[in-house]
Amino acid sequence: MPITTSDNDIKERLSIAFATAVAARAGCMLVEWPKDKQSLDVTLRPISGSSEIVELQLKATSQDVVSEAGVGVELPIKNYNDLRSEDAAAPRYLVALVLPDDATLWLAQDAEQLLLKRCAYWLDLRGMPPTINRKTISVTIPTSNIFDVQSLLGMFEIAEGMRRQRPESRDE
Amino acid sequence: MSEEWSDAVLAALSPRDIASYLKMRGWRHVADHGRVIAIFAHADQTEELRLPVTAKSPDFARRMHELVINLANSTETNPREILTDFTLAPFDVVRVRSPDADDYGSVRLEDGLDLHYEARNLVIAAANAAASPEPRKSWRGRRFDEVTDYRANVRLGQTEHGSFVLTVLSPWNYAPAGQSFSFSETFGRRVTKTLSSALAATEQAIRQSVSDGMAPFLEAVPLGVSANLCQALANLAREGGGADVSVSWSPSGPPQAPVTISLRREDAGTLTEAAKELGAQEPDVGVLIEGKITQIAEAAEQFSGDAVLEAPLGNLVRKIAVTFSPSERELVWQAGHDKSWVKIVGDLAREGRRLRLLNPRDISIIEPTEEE
Repeated sequence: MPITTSDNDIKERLSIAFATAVAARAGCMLVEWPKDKQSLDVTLRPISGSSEIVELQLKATSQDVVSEAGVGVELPIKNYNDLRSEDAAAPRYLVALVLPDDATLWLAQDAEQLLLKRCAYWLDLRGMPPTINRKTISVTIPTSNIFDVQSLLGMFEIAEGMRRQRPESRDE
Repeated sequence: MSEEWSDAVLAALSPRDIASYLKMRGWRHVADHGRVIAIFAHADQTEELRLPVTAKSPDFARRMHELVINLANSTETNPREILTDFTLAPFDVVRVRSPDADDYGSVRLEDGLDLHYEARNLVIAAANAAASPEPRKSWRGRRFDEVTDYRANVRLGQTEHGSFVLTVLSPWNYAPAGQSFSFSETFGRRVTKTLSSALAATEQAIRQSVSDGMAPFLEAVPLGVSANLCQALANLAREGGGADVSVSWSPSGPPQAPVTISLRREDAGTLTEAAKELGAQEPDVGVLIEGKITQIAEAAEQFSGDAVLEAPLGNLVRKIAVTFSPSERELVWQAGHDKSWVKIVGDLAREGRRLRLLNPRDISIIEPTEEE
Protein backbone atom coordinates (compact mmCIF):
# COMPACT_ATOMS: atom_id res chain seq x y z
CA MET A 1 0.00 0.00 0.00
CA PRO A 2 1.50 3.38 -0.94
CA ILE A 3 2.01 6.26 1.48
CA THR A 4 -0.87 8.71 1.02
CA THR A 5 0.18 11.48 3.43
CA SER A 6 -1.15 14.86 2.34
CA ASP A 7 1.11 17.75 1.35
CA ASN A 8 -0.14 19.73 4.33
CA ASP A 9 0.94 16.99 6.72
CA ILE A 10 4.32 16.79 5.01
CA LYS A 11 4.75 20.56 5.34
CA GLU A 12 3.90 20.31 9.03
CA ARG A 13 6.48 17.59 9.56
CA LEU A 14 9.07 19.62 7.64
CA SER A 15 8.40 22.64 9.88
CA ILE A 16 9.03 20.45 12.93
CA ALA A 17 12.18 19.09 11.29
CA PHE A 18 13.33 22.65 10.57
CA ALA A 19 12.75 23.77 14.16
CA THR A 20 14.37 20.58 15.49
CA ALA A 21 17.49 21.17 13.40
CA VAL A 22 17.88 24.81 14.45
CA ALA A 23 17.19 23.90 18.10
CA ALA A 24 19.69 21.03 18.02
CA ARG A 25 22.40 23.32 16.71
CA ALA A 26 21.60 25.72 19.55
CA GLY A 27 21.91 22.88 22.07
CA CYS A 28 18.21 22.44 22.64
CA MET A 29 15.72 19.64 22.37
CA LEU A 30 12.24 19.88 20.98
CA VAL A 31 9.13 18.48 22.65
CA GLU A 32 6.17 18.02 20.38
CA TRP A 33 2.79 18.24 22.04
CA PRO A 34 -0.21 16.27 20.81
CA LYS A 35 -1.82 18.06 17.90
CA ASP A 36 -4.62 20.49 18.66
CA LYS A 37 -4.03 20.21 22.38
CA GLN A 38 -3.44 23.93 22.40
CA SER A 39 -2.56 26.32 19.66
CA LEU A 40 1.19 25.91 20.17
CA ASP A 41 3.00 23.00 18.70
CA VAL A 42 6.44 22.59 20.23
CA THR A 43 8.45 23.47 23.31
CA LEU A 44 12.20 24.01 23.07
CA ARG A 45 14.44 23.54 26.09
CA PRO A 46 18.20 23.41 26.52
CA ILE A 47 19.50 19.88 26.88
CA SER A 48 21.66 21.07 29.74
CA GLY A 49 22.28 24.35 31.52
CA SER A 50 19.50 26.91 31.52
CA SER A 51 16.05 25.74 32.63
CA GLU A 52 14.29 28.27 30.43
CA ILE A 53 11.85 27.17 27.77
CA VAL A 54 10.61 28.73 24.56
CA GLU A 55 7.47 27.73 22.73
CA LEU A 56 6.84 27.91 19.02
CA GLN A 57 3.64 27.87 17.03
CA LEU A 58 4.73 26.36 13.78
CA LYS A 59 3.13 27.10 10.44
CA ALA A 60 4.22 25.99 7.00
CA THR A 61 3.16 27.25 3.60
CA SER A 62 4.22 26.79 0.00
CA GLN A 63 2.24 29.77 -1.20
CA ASP A 64 3.81 32.98 -2.41
CA VAL A 65 3.53 34.88 0.86
CA VAL A 66 6.78 36.85 0.83
CA SER A 67 6.59 40.42 -0.40
CA GLU A 68 8.39 43.68 0.26
CA ALA A 69 6.04 44.26 3.18
CA GLY A 70 7.05 40.99 4.79
CA VAL A 71 5.76 37.46 5.15
CA GLY A 72 1.96 37.29 5.29
CA VAL A 73 0.52 34.60 7.53
CA GLU A 74 -3.16 33.85 8.04
CA LEU A 75 -3.73 32.81 11.66
CA PRO A 76 -6.86 31.28 13.20
CA ILE A 77 -8.22 33.64 15.87
CA LYS A 78 -7.60 31.12 18.66
CA ASN A 79 -3.93 30.90 17.71
CA TYR A 80 -3.71 34.68 17.48
CA ASN A 81 -5.28 35.20 20.90
CA ASP A 82 -3.08 32.59 22.53
CA LEU A 83 0.06 34.05 20.96
CA ARG A 84 -0.75 37.63 21.93
CA SER A 85 -1.69 36.69 25.55
CA GLU A 86 0.50 38.26 28.19
CA ASP A 87 -0.58 35.60 30.67
CA ALA A 88 1.35 32.81 28.96
CA ALA A 89 3.81 31.18 31.31
CA ALA A 90 6.49 30.69 28.66
CA PRO A 91 7.55 33.14 25.93
CA ARG A 92 6.31 31.92 22.60
CA TYR A 93 6.64 32.86 19.01
CA LEU A 94 5.02 32.27 15.69
CA VAL A 95 7.41 30.54 13.31
CA ALA A 96 6.34 30.26 9.68
CA LEU A 97 8.25 28.00 7.31
CA VAL A 98 7.98 29.15 3.72
CA LEU A 99 8.59 26.36 1.21
CA PRO A 100 8.90 26.47 -2.56
CA ASP A 101 5.72 26.16 -4.56
CA ASP A 102 7.06 23.01 -6.22
CA ALA A 103 6.85 20.16 -3.73
CA THR A 104 9.72 18.32 -5.40
CA LEU A 105 12.01 21.17 -4.29
CA TRP A 106 11.11 21.09 -0.61
CA LEU A 107 13.94 18.78 0.35
CA ALA A 108 17.14 18.05 -1.51
CA GLN A 109 19.76 15.57 -0.40
CA ASP A 110 23.05 14.30 -1.70
CA ALA A 111 26.35 13.10 -0.31
CA GLU A 112 27.28 16.66 0.64
CA GLN A 113 24.18 18.08 2.20
CA LEU A 114 20.63 17.81 3.42
CA LEU A 115 18.91 20.90 2.06
CA LEU A 116 15.58 22.17 3.27
CA LYS A 117 14.67 24.92 0.80
CA ARG A 118 13.72 28.53 1.60
CA CYS A 119 13.47 29.55 5.29
CA ALA A 120 11.39 30.14 8.37
CA TYR A 121 10.49 33.50 9.91
CA TRP A 122 9.54 34.32 13.50
CA LEU A 123 7.22 36.86 15.08
CA ASP A 124 6.50 37.84 18.69
CA LEU A 125 2.80 38.63 18.99
CA ARG A 126 2.75 39.14 22.75
CA GLY A 127 0.77 42.27 23.62
CA MET A 128 -0.78 42.71 20.20
CA PRO A 129 -4.29 44.21 20.24
CA PRO A 130 -7.50 42.18 20.25
CA THR A 131 -9.33 41.74 16.96
CA ILE A 132 -12.97 41.79 15.96
CA ASN A 133 -12.28 39.17 13.27
CA ARG A 134 -14.13 35.94 13.92
CA LYS A 135 -12.19 33.27 12.12
CA THR A 136 -8.74 34.38 11.00
CA ILE A 137 -6.43 37.35 11.02
CA SER A 138 -3.51 38.25 8.77
CA VAL A 139 -0.20 39.07 10.41
CA THR A 140 2.95 40.20 8.67
CA ILE A 141 6.40 39.03 9.70
CA PRO A 142 9.39 41.24 8.77
CA THR A 143 11.65 39.36 6.36
CA SER A 144 14.56 40.23 8.62
CA ASN A 145 13.11 37.93 11.31
CA ILE A 146 14.77 34.78 10.02
CA PHE A 147 14.43 31.88 12.43
CA ASP A 148 17.98 30.70 12.93
CA VAL A 149 20.31 29.72 15.76
CA GLN A 150 21.09 33.32 16.66
CA SER A 151 17.44 34.35 16.83
CA LEU A 152 16.65 31.28 18.93
CA LEU A 153 19.45 32.09 21.36
CA GLY A 154 18.01 35.61 21.55
CA MET A 155 14.64 34.14 22.51
CA PHE A 156 16.28 32.24 25.35
CA GLU A 157 18.01 35.41 26.52
CA ILE A 158 14.65 37.15 26.65
CA ALA A 159 13.24 34.20 28.61
CA GLU A 160 16.16 34.41 31.04
CA GLY A 161 15.41 38.12 31.50
CA MET A 162 11.90 37.32 32.70
CA ARG A 163 13.28 35.70 35.83
CA ARG A 164 13.19 37.72 39.04
CA GLN A 165 14.99 36.30 42.06
CA ARG A 166 13.12 36.59 45.34
CA PRO A 167 14.82 38.04 48.39
CA GLU A 168 15.65 35.31 50.91
CA SER A 169 13.56 36.97 53.58
CA ARG A 170 10.40 36.77 51.50
CA ASP A 171 10.35 33.04 51.40
CA GLU A 172 8.52 31.21 54.14
CA MET B 1 6.22 13.69 26.93
CA SER B 2 5.64 10.05 27.78
CA GLU B 3 2.54 10.52 29.93
CA GLU B 4 -0.78 11.46 28.37
CA TRP B 5 -3.24 13.13 30.67
CA SER B 6 -6.38 15.00 29.88
CA ASP B 7 -6.06 18.76 29.75
CA ALA B 8 -9.19 18.96 31.88
CA VAL B 9 -7.45 17.10 34.72
CA LEU B 10 -4.37 19.29 34.49
CA ALA B 11 -6.38 22.51 34.12
CA ALA B 12 -8.33 21.71 37.29
CA LEU B 13 -5.24 21.54 39.50
CA SER B 14 -4.96 24.14 42.23
CA PRO B 15 -1.70 26.15 42.13
CA ARG B 16 -2.24 27.28 45.73
CA ASP B 17 -2.52 23.72 47.05
CA ILE B 18 0.39 22.54 44.93
CA ALA B 19 2.52 25.37 46.29
CA SER B 20 1.65 24.17 49.82
CA TYR B 21 2.47 20.61 48.77
CA LEU B 22 5.90 21.67 47.51
CA LYS B 23 6.69 23.80 50.56
CA MET B 24 5.73 20.95 52.89
CA ARG B 25 8.30 18.79 51.09
CA GLY B 26 11.19 21.19 51.37
CA TRP B 27 10.86 23.17 48.15
CA ARG B 28 11.31 26.94 48.44
CA HIS B 29 9.87 29.64 46.25
CA VAL B 30 13.10 31.26 45.09
CA ALA B 31 12.14 33.25 42.00
CA ASP B 32 9.38 34.30 39.69
CA HIS B 33 9.29 34.14 35.94
CA GLY B 34 7.18 36.65 34.07
CA ARG B 35 3.79 37.19 35.62
CA VAL B 36 2.57 33.65 35.95
CA ILE B 37 5.38 31.31 36.99
CA ALA B 38 6.73 30.70 40.48
CA ILE B 39 10.10 28.91 40.55
CA PHE B 40 10.78 26.47 43.38
CA ALA B 41 14.12 25.02 44.39
CA HIS B 42 15.06 22.30 46.88
CA ALA B 43 18.16 22.27 49.02
CA ASP B 44 18.77 18.63 48.10
CA GLN B 45 18.05 18.95 44.40
CA THR B 46 19.78 20.74 41.58
CA GLU B 47 16.62 21.01 39.51
CA GLU B 48 14.10 23.81 39.64
CA LEU B 49 10.36 23.39 39.39
CA ARG B 50 8.11 25.89 37.64
CA LEU B 51 4.62 26.29 39.01
CA PRO B 52 2.08 28.20 36.89
CA VAL B 53 0.16 30.32 39.38
CA THR B 54 -2.94 31.10 37.38
CA ALA B 55 -5.19 28.88 35.32
CA LYS B 56 -5.78 31.87 33.05
CA SER B 57 -2.52 31.11 31.29
CA PRO B 58 -3.19 29.62 27.88
CA ASP B 59 -0.37 27.14 28.52
CA PHE B 60 -1.39 26.35 32.12
CA ALA B 61 -2.13 22.66 31.46
CA ARG B 62 1.13 22.21 29.59
CA ARG B 63 3.19 23.80 32.35
CA MET B 64 1.41 21.65 34.93
CA HIS B 65 2.23 18.60 32.85
CA GLU B 66 5.91 19.56 32.89
CA LEU B 67 5.80 20.20 36.62
CA VAL B 68 4.42 16.71 37.29
CA ILE B 69 7.06 15.07 35.09
CA ASN B 70 9.92 17.16 36.48
CA LEU B 71 8.91 16.54 40.10
CA ALA B 72 8.54 12.81 39.40
CA ASN B 73 12.03 12.73 37.85
CA SER B 74 13.48 14.74 40.70
CA THR B 75 11.99 12.54 43.41
CA GLU B 76 12.14 9.27 41.46
CA THR B 77 8.42 8.83 41.87
CA ASN B 78 5.86 7.55 39.40
CA PRO B 79 4.36 10.62 37.68
CA ARG B 80 0.88 9.19 38.16
CA GLU B 81 1.39 9.21 41.92
CA ILE B 82 2.45 12.85 41.74
CA LEU B 83 -0.61 13.72 39.67
CA THR B 84 -2.88 11.88 42.12
CA ASP B 85 -1.34 13.85 44.99
CA PHE B 86 -1.82 17.09 43.08
CA THR B 87 -5.40 16.21 42.20
CA LEU B 88 -6.22 15.44 45.81
CA ALA B 89 -4.30 18.39 47.22
CA PRO B 90 -7.46 20.44 47.87
CA PHE B 91 -9.10 17.58 49.75
CA ASP B 92 -8.98 15.44 52.82
CA VAL B 93 -10.16 12.03 51.66
CA VAL B 94 -12.61 9.77 53.45
CA ARG B 95 -12.42 6.22 52.16
CA VAL B 96 -14.98 3.52 52.81
CA ARG B 97 -13.85 0.05 51.85
CA SER B 98 -16.23 -2.82 51.63
CA PRO B 99 -14.56 -6.22 51.88
CA ASP B 100 -17.73 -7.75 50.44
CA ALA B 101 -16.59 -7.20 46.85
CA ASP B 102 -15.89 -9.90 44.28
CA ASP B 103 -12.60 -10.46 42.47
CA TYR B 104 -13.34 -7.59 40.10
CA GLY B 105 -13.85 -5.20 43.00
CA SER B 106 -17.55 -4.92 42.27
CA VAL B 107 -20.44 -5.06 44.72
CA ARG B 108 -24.15 -5.53 44.25
CA LEU B 109 -25.77 -2.33 43.03
CA GLU B 110 -28.09 -2.11 46.03
CA ASP B 111 -25.18 -2.56 48.45
CA GLY B 112 -23.17 0.05 46.57
CA LEU B 113 -25.99 2.56 46.86
CA ASP B 114 -26.21 1.90 50.60
CA LEU B 115 -22.46 2.39 50.99
CA HIS B 116 -22.66 5.77 49.29
CA TYR B 117 -25.68 6.81 51.34
CA GLU B 118 -24.06 5.86 54.63
CA ALA B 119 -20.74 7.45 53.70
CA ARG B 120 -22.68 10.66 53.15
CA ASN B 121 -24.42 10.28 56.53
CA LEU B 122 -21.06 9.72 58.18
CA VAL B 123 -19.63 12.95 56.80
CA ILE B 124 -22.77 14.93 57.64
CA ALA B 125 -22.72 13.62 61.21
CA ALA B 126 -19.12 14.80 61.55
CA ALA B 127 -19.98 18.15 59.97
CA ASN B 128 -22.85 18.68 62.42
CA ALA B 129 -20.56 17.87 65.33
CA ALA B 130 -17.93 20.27 63.98
CA ALA B 131 -20.49 23.04 63.52
CA SER B 132 -22.26 22.69 66.84
CA PRO B 133 -21.15 25.00 69.64
CA GLU B 134 -21.75 22.16 72.09
CA PRO B 135 -21.60 18.36 71.79
CA ARG B 136 -24.87 16.65 70.89
CA LYS B 137 -25.80 12.99 71.06
CA SER B 138 -27.98 13.06 68.00
CA TRP B 139 -28.79 15.28 65.02
CA ARG B 140 -32.36 15.51 63.83
CA GLY B 141 -34.18 17.92 61.61
CA ARG B 142 -32.39 21.20 61.77
CA ARG B 143 -28.98 21.66 60.25
CA PHE B 144 -26.37 24.34 60.58
CA ASP B 145 -26.00 26.69 57.63
CA GLU B 146 -22.29 25.94 57.27
CA VAL B 147 -23.08 22.22 57.12
CA THR B 148 -25.50 22.81 54.26
CA ASP B 149 -22.90 24.89 52.41
CA TYR B 150 -20.12 22.43 53.19
CA ARG B 151 -22.21 19.53 51.86
CA ALA B 152 -22.51 21.34 48.57
CA ASN B 153 -18.72 21.39 48.34
CA VAL B 154 -18.05 17.75 49.22
CA ARG B 155 -17.33 15.60 46.19
CA LEU B 156 -17.43 11.93 45.36
CA GLY B 157 -14.08 10.81 44.00
CA GLN B 158 -13.19 7.96 41.70
CA THR B 159 -13.64 4.53 43.21
CA GLU B 160 -10.32 2.84 43.86
CA HIS B 161 -9.14 -0.70 43.30
CA GLY B 162 -8.83 -2.99 46.29
CA SER B 163 -12.14 -4.62 47.21
CA PHE B 164 -14.64 -1.82 46.67
CA VAL B 165 -13.39 1.54 47.85
CA LEU B 166 -15.46 4.68 47.54
CA THR B 167 -13.85 8.03 48.18
CA VAL B 168 -15.45 11.15 49.57
CA LEU B 169 -13.43 14.28 48.90
CA SER B 170 -13.78 16.85 51.65
CA PRO B 171 -12.40 20.29 50.80
CA TRP B 172 -10.01 20.85 53.69
CA ASN B 173 -9.82 24.61 53.20
CA TYR B 174 -13.56 25.12 52.91
CA ALA B 175 -14.57 28.04 55.10
CA PRO B 176 -18.12 29.38 54.99
CA ALA B 177 -18.57 33.09 54.50
CA GLY B 178 -18.21 34.84 57.82
CA GLN B 179 -16.46 31.94 59.55
CA SER B 180 -15.69 32.94 63.08
CA PHE B 181 -12.12 34.02 63.67
CA SER B 182 -12.23 32.14 66.95
CA PHE B 183 -11.41 28.99 64.93
CA SER B 184 -7.82 28.59 63.88
CA GLU B 185 -8.76 25.92 61.35
CA THR B 186 -11.06 25.98 58.37
CA PHE B 187 -14.46 24.36 58.73
CA GLY B 188 -13.51 21.71 56.17
CA ARG B 189 -10.52 20.63 58.24
CA ARG B 190 -12.56 20.69 61.47
CA VAL B 191 -15.02 18.28 59.87
CA THR B 192 -12.35 15.73 58.96
CA LYS B 193 -10.59 16.13 62.30
CA THR B 194 -13.91 15.59 64.06
CA LEU B 195 -14.58 12.55 61.92
CA SER B 196 -11.16 11.08 62.66
CA SER B 197 -11.49 11.66 66.41
CA ALA B 198 -15.01 10.20 66.34
CA LEU B 199 -13.85 7.13 64.42
CA ALA B 200 -11.02 6.49 66.87
CA ALA B 201 -13.36 7.02 69.83
CA THR B 202 -15.96 4.71 68.31
CA GLU B 203 -13.44 1.93 67.84
CA GLN B 204 -12.41 2.25 71.47
CA ALA B 205 -16.02 2.43 72.65
CA ILE B 206 -16.85 -0.79 70.79
CA ARG B 207 -14.08 -2.55 72.71
CA GLN B 208 -15.06 -1.05 76.06
CA SER B 209 -18.75 -1.77 75.54
CA VAL B 210 -18.05 -5.47 76.05
CA SER B 211 -17.69 -4.81 79.75
CA ASP B 212 -19.15 -1.32 80.23
CA GLY B 213 -22.26 -1.36 78.06
CA MET B 214 -23.22 1.82 76.22
CA ALA B 215 -21.53 4.23 78.64
CA PRO B 216 -18.30 4.52 76.56
CA PHE B 217 -20.34 5.75 73.59
CA LEU B 218 -21.99 8.44 75.73
CA GLU B 219 -18.61 9.49 77.06
CA ALA B 220 -17.31 9.80 73.50
CA VAL B 221 -19.93 12.38 72.47
CA PRO B 222 -17.51 15.31 72.98
CA LEU B 223 -15.19 13.62 70.44
CA GLY B 224 -17.86 13.72 67.75
CA VAL B 225 -19.61 10.40 68.35
CA SER B 226 -23.35 10.67 67.78
CA ALA B 227 -26.35 8.46 67.10
CA ASN B 228 -26.13 9.38 63.42
CA LEU B 229 -22.46 8.47 63.17
CA CYS B 230 -23.00 5.16 64.98
CA GLN B 231 -26.01 4.29 62.81
CA ALA B 232 -24.10 5.08 59.61
CA LEU B 233 -21.17 2.90 60.75
CA ALA B 234 -23.59 0.15 61.80
CA ASN B 235 -25.21 0.13 58.37
CA LEU B 236 -21.83 0.15 56.62
CA ALA B 237 -20.66 -2.81 58.71
CA ARG B 238 -23.91 -4.70 58.16
CA GLU B 239 -24.38 -4.05 54.44
CA GLY B 240 -20.74 -4.35 53.46
CA GLY B 241 -19.89 -7.45 55.47
CA GLY B 242 -17.70 -5.24 57.63
CA ALA B 243 -16.10 -1.98 56.55
CA ASP B 244 -12.86 -0.05 56.74
CA VAL B 245 -13.32 3.69 57.09
CA SER B 246 -10.34 5.98 56.91
CA VAL B 247 -9.54 9.66 56.83
CA SER B 248 -6.37 10.72 55.04
CA TRP B 249 -5.15 14.25 54.92
CA SER B 250 -4.60 16.57 52.01
CA PRO B 251 -1.14 16.09 50.46
CA SER B 252 -0.78 19.87 50.60
CA GLY B 253 -0.35 19.65 54.37
CA PRO B 254 2.41 18.09 56.43
CA PRO B 255 2.51 14.30 55.97
CA GLN B 256 0.32 12.64 58.60
CA ALA B 257 -0.74 9.06 59.10
CA PRO B 258 -4.34 8.36 58.06
CA VAL B 259 -6.88 7.42 60.72
CA THR B 260 -8.55 4.08 60.03
CA ILE B 261 -11.28 2.12 61.74
CA SER B 262 -11.98 -1.50 60.83
CA LEU B 263 -15.46 -2.78 61.56
CA ARG B 264 -16.68 -6.34 61.45
CA ARG B 265 -20.22 -7.32 60.60
CA GLU B 266 -20.68 -8.31 64.27
CA ASP B 267 -20.04 -4.70 65.32
CA ALA B 268 -23.23 -3.59 63.59
CA GLY B 269 -25.39 -4.74 66.49
CA THR B 270 -23.36 -2.86 69.08
CA LEU B 271 -23.33 0.27 66.97
CA THR B 272 -27.09 0.12 66.36
CA GLU B 273 -27.70 -0.21 70.09
CA ALA B 274 -25.38 2.74 70.73
CA ALA B 275 -27.24 4.78 68.12
CA LYS B 276 -30.55 4.07 69.85
CA GLU B 277 -29.17 4.96 73.25
CA LEU B 278 -27.61 8.19 72.03
CA GLY B 279 -30.72 9.13 70.06
CA ALA B 280 -32.98 8.52 73.04
CA GLN B 281 -30.95 10.87 75.21
CA GLU B 282 -30.95 13.87 72.92
CA PRO B 283 -33.99 16.14 72.76
CA ASP B 284 -35.39 17.07 69.38
CA VAL B 285 -34.80 20.81 69.44
CA GLY B 286 -37.41 23.27 68.21
CA VAL B 287 -40.15 20.73 67.50
CA LEU B 288 -43.62 22.10 66.69
CA ILE B 289 -46.30 19.98 68.33
CA GLU B 290 -50.05 20.29 67.96
CA GLY B 291 -52.36 18.60 70.48
CA LYS B 292 -54.71 18.89 73.40
CA ILE B 293 -53.86 19.82 76.98
CA THR B 294 -55.09 17.21 79.46
CA GLN B 295 -54.75 16.12 83.08
CA ILE B 296 -55.17 19.52 84.70
CA ALA B 297 -57.07 18.68 87.85
CA GLU B 298 -56.55 21.93 89.78
CA ALA B 299 -58.60 25.07 89.66
CA ALA B 300 -57.09 27.86 87.59
CA GLU B 301 -55.62 29.72 90.53
CA GLN B 302 -53.97 26.54 91.90
CA PHE B 303 -52.60 25.32 88.58
CA SER B 304 -48.94 24.38 89.13
CA GLY B 305 -47.99 24.40 85.43
CA ASP B 306 -47.64 20.59 85.14
CA ALA B 307 -49.80 19.22 82.33
CA VAL B 308 -49.92 16.55 79.68
CA LEU B 309 -50.15 17.23 75.99
CA GLU B 310 -51.82 14.52 73.89
CA ALA B 311 -50.48 14.85 70.40
CA PRO B 312 -50.14 12.70 67.30
CA LEU B 313 -46.50 11.67 66.70
CA GLY B 314 -45.98 9.40 63.77
CA ASN B 315 -48.86 6.94 63.74
CA LEU B 316 -49.52 7.17 67.48
CA VAL B 317 -51.11 9.66 69.83
CA ARG B 318 -48.53 10.13 72.57
CA LYS B 319 -48.75 11.69 76.00
CA ILE B 320 -46.08 14.33 76.48
CA ALA B 321 -45.34 15.83 79.88
CA VAL B 322 -44.91 19.60 79.91
CA THR B 323 -44.21 22.08 82.68
CA PHE B 324 -45.41 25.57 81.80
CA SER B 325 -44.03 28.81 83.21
CA PRO B 326 -46.30 31.11 85.28
CA SER B 327 -46.80 33.51 82.37
CA GLU B 328 -48.29 30.74 80.22
CA ARG B 329 -50.42 29.01 82.86
CA GLU B 330 -53.61 30.99 82.38
CA LEU B 331 -53.65 30.35 78.64
CA VAL B 332 -52.79 26.69 79.09
CA TRP B 333 -55.37 26.14 81.85
CA GLN B 334 -58.07 27.72 79.69
CA ALA B 335 -57.07 25.59 76.70
CA GLY B 336 -57.26 22.47 78.88
CA HIS B 337 -60.63 23.51 80.27
CA ASP B 338 -62.03 24.25 76.80
CA LYS B 339 -60.39 21.13 75.28
CA SER B 340 -58.89 23.41 72.66
CA TRP B 341 -56.05 22.34 70.39
CA VAL B 342 -52.81 24.21 70.92
CA LYS B 343 -49.57 24.70 69.04
CA ILE B 344 -46.38 24.59 71.11
CA VAL B 345 -42.72 24.73 70.11
CA GLY B 346 -40.27 22.93 72.42
CA ASP B 347 -37.44 20.44 72.74
CA LEU B 348 -38.75 16.87 72.76
CA ALA B 349 -36.84 14.59 75.13
CA ARG B 350 -37.25 11.01 76.22
CA GLU B 351 -37.30 10.08 79.90
CA GLY B 352 -37.19 6.33 79.86
CA ARG B 353 -40.38 5.36 78.03
CA ARG B 354 -42.00 8.76 78.55
CA LEU B 355 -41.74 11.91 76.51
CA ARG B 356 -41.23 15.37 77.88
CA LEU B 357 -41.37 18.70 76.06
CA LEU B 358 -38.65 20.98 77.41
CA ASN B 359 -38.54 24.75 77.05
CA PRO B 360 -42.16 25.12 75.84
CA ARG B 361 -42.62 28.38 73.94
CA ASP B 362 -44.64 30.12 71.24
CA ILE B 363 -47.87 28.67 72.61
CA SER B 364 -51.07 29.49 70.75
CA ILE B 365 -54.63 28.23 70.51
CA ILE B 366 -55.65 26.63 67.21
CA GLU B 367 -59.00 28.21 66.43
CA PRO B 368 -61.45 25.79 64.84
CA THR B 369 -62.71 26.69 61.41
CA GLU B 370 -65.79 25.44 59.58
CA GLU B 371 -64.40 26.20 56.17
CA GLU B 372 -62.78 23.48 54.08
